[in-house]
Amino acid sequence: MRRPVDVQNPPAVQRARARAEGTRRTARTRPRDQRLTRLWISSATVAVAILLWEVAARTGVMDARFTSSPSGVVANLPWLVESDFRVHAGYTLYAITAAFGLSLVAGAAAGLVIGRVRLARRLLDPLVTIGYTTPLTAFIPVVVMFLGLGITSKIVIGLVGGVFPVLVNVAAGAGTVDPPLLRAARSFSVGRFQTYRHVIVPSVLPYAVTGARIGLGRVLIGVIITEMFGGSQYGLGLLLIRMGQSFRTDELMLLVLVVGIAGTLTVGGLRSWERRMARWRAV
Amino acid sequence: MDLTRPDSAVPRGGTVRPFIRIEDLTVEYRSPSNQPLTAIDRLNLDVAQGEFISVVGPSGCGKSTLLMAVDGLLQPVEGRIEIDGTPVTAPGRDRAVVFQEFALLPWRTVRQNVAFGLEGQRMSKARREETVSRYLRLVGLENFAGHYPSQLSGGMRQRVGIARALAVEPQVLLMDEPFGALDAQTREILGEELLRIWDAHQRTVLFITHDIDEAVFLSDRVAVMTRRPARIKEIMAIDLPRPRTIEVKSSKPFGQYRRRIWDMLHDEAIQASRER
Repeated sequence: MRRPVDVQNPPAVQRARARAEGTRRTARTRPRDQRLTRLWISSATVAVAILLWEVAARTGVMDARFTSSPSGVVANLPWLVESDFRVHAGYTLYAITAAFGLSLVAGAAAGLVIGRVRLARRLLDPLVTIGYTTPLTAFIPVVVMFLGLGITSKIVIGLVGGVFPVLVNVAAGAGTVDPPLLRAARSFSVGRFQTYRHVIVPSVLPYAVTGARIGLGRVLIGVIITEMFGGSQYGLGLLLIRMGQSFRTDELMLLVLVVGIAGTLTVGGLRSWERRMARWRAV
Repeated sequence: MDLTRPDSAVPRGGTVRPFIRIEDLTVEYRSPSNQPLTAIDRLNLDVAQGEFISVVGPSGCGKSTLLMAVDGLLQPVEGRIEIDGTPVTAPGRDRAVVFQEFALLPWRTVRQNVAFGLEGQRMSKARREETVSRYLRLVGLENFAGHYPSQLSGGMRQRVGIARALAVEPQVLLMDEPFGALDAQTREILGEELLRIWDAHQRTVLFITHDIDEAVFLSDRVAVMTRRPARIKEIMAIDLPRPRTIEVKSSKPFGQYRRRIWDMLHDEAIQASRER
């Protein structure tokens, strides 16, 4: 297997040359400037959306009884502290953390085995495909039937949602470890455990983070939807349904925003970690 | 001048025991359709200590297979390989490979990559660092120790590969078309550099290539392989004075060696391409 290498003018050499010529600062600050610009643009988009929402609610284009308004939402901020919101949020956070943690551990372990052992891949591939492609909501009645309406059901549904993206991505990473690297490890008498530690796991890590990012999103959905499904005593999903059913739209919209912002921040954090981890990759 | 280096004669018989002895080596592997395929068929080759020997042959003839067998990555179905009297059964510290694909860990810096082969060995951290620095200097990469492979050119990457192999201080350096992925100029520069290192360190080198010029320029002897199932067709001693520089490539004897090896290879290459 021979891979072409552009020796004449690889990007690394171009960068090195730019550095030698003292152009390093511009080359380095430009991405940061771009990121700042992008941040400004997205903030402006959000601001315009909020403004339109407020205007629409005040002028009666949208019925504020159903859609609330930004000012209504802000006026209700104290509700987050005064009500039992914290208890509900605590339960949801607990379920999400547990489900996500289990997804990472189980998904990484199973993914490594499926990626490295051909027999395991052949045996488990159909199950993984079914588990990953079946809509998450379809599992809810089954799980609730078995486990009742407590926190266990939420965690299990979250786990079903989160484990497959992690597993599939880790397996893909583990199955595509560069063969010459494995040959080099064997040739230099690097032991099996050390080969996992120094060759396989680092190869898989970027894939694992991608899986974790996708998985976290599905864990959030799984837990909150199960809470909405009914019967559960606590949880943000339950709270959302209650507020909706009693037409308390200000609180309802506030909850939607809180959940949305929390999800954006955590998934966004994972995404930036993902990018940082790919630092050594050829750019 | 080093008087212990064997002269160009084939180091067979006599009282000198060959350093690498390959005897009736037969290697098979399974084709995608699960048919056993004989890659190497009763191949014999002796290499003297400190010798630089190249193996050339038509593409796909099993040159790399031979190298992997000597490294112990492949088990022969028949025959044996001995290094300094010890049979080869698995990869060992007395051999190190330079790979055509470089095979560097992309998430490790140059320095950490060179240390890769040393990590399994019992040695103090200070000694390991010192060894790594020495070989980084030897290949001229001391100023790039903190770079990642993706920041280096192909030629520099293979210097890392060479330093990594030399750092374990092997008795035998196995080079599997190490310059195959490089352009002509880089290839030539690295070839000269390799000779400089070899002159200074006197390791036995088994060098796989399909480039006849490269083989003649570098080697004490050039072994020509037949098409698959491969054996050694002929061995040519290269009696050119050392140390050699690029200029030797335009000399008359160099041209003659190249011509003769090309003639040996020609039939095999044509037949091999017809059988495909």
